[in-house]
Amino acid sequence: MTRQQPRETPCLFYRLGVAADRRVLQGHPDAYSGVVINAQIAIWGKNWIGTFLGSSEKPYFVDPVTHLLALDPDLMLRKENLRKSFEKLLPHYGTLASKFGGERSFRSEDLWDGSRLTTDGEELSESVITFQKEVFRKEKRMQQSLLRYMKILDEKLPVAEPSEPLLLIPPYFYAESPDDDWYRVSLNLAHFSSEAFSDEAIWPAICVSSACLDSPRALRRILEDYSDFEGVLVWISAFDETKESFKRLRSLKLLLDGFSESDTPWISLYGGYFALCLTRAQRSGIVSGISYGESKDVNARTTGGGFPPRYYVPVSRTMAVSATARTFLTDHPAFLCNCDVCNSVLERIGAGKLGPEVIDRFLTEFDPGPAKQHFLLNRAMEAETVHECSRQEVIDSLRQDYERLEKIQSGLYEVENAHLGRWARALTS
Amino acid sequence: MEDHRGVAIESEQNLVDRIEVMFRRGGYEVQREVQLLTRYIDLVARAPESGTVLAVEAKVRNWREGLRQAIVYRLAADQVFLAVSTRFVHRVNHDLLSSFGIGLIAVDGQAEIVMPAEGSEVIHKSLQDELISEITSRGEA
Repeated sequence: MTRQQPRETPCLFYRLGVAADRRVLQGHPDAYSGVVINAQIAIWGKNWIGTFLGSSEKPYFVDPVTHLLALDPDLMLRKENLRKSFEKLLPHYGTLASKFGGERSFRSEDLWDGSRLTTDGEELSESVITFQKEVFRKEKRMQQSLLRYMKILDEKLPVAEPSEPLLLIPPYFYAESPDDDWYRVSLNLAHFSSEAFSDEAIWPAICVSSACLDSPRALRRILEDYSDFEGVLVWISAFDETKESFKRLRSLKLLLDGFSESDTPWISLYGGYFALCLTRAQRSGIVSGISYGESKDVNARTTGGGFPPRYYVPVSRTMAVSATARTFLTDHPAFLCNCDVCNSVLERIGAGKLGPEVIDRFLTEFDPGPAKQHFLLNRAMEAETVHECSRQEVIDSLRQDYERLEKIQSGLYEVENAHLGRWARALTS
Repeated sequence: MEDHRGVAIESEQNLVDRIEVMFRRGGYEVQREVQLLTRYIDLVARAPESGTVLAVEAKVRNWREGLRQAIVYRLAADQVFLAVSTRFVHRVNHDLLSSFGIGLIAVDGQAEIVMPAEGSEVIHKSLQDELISEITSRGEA
């Protein structure tokens, strides 16, 4: 089966968090490129996710989340027991994961003996890749009997089977730096997977600390080690684009531009507007949740149930909690978005002049579905703008928006703007 | 509690204690730590006859942070005050507070309104209803 390739630029992938995300995505199929599913969610929600993938016909890939195996086992527990989703997942990851998952964390020597992968390392690699390939594949026997039944009834299958994943991710682990044993293990797992599955699109995930961005040597090493793969996924742990310094933003740019210049496609596993601005050069993209998940700390506990609704503020490219959105838009209604979703809500409430009463009713109507759709549409418009405008035009618009917010002291409303200036500088450098 | 110079170390708690005394003497019903959205208003005072609701955000010295909080309370309370220790009240930008209609209370041994608040013109009815419901149910408890 032919694997769909990412569009030229830029690619927007959304991480499926809760079942309700389907409806948001189904409502706006042109606003995104594909979806990402964490492995434990894939196995736990196999049926509804498989149906969604089959009907949406969008590219997807599975994040194997193997980094958790080497971190505090508590991250996979709920009330001292292994979460049910991980209980279902870990047997698919081979002997070591089945034996120790949730009880003790992997050690690098479990997978690497100093010169080559151990048997457990090789098994982990094969199991993890196979899981991603198979998780949404219906049982062949079941599929054939269903086909025969449908043929008898002279009916089409109601839902297509999902295509194969767009790419496959070898087991990966978090490393503080390229000198960390786990960096070496991950790299070797990636090489092994590429050889063992040579017909597949194997994209390693580079999962490192943000301290790597402080070291030109570390950046060079990462580029040297990973530029020859078919593509790469990049995850700088806890890297919040809105809070990071200009220097680190510039380093991220150097890293991602470095991959682009060596013609290595890349996808930022937790990316926001700044990473989006870097996607214009080559085949590349970003992954986030729908209105959350633009940054993630590897040690953050995986929570179920999604995030509380927040309003995306287009001028600052940040999310605002209800109190912030209400206050800011009440005093400055000119910053109210005019996307289709926002316009439709305004029409529904019969809005005239944008006074406090209208803003109150608007934001009351907005939770939670429209809030996610509003984010989706705005992000799609941003991607289009980044793609169609020159880099300088993007930089100029960041500076203009910085000034607009500075003028009204937007910081008093907790709508920050300093990051816009840092982004503009970093993109210029 | 005193610092190394023998000067009393204030806390927000102390400030709110004195503000509560001031409003109770004025005949208001007072409640503390009242939730509004994801925040907690330090003190809410309600005039029993008119039903006017006042919200107060207290900070010992960080008036800017206090202002950020107080700005939100305008959506639910009829009048909003920022309260700051008298030792630091000279640092407050009166014009800035005024531009939001927010009043100012100075607190040392007692609390005193040094700049009155204006009536809020940006009330969100849904939030005001929630606030009144919260203080009413706490008052009945």
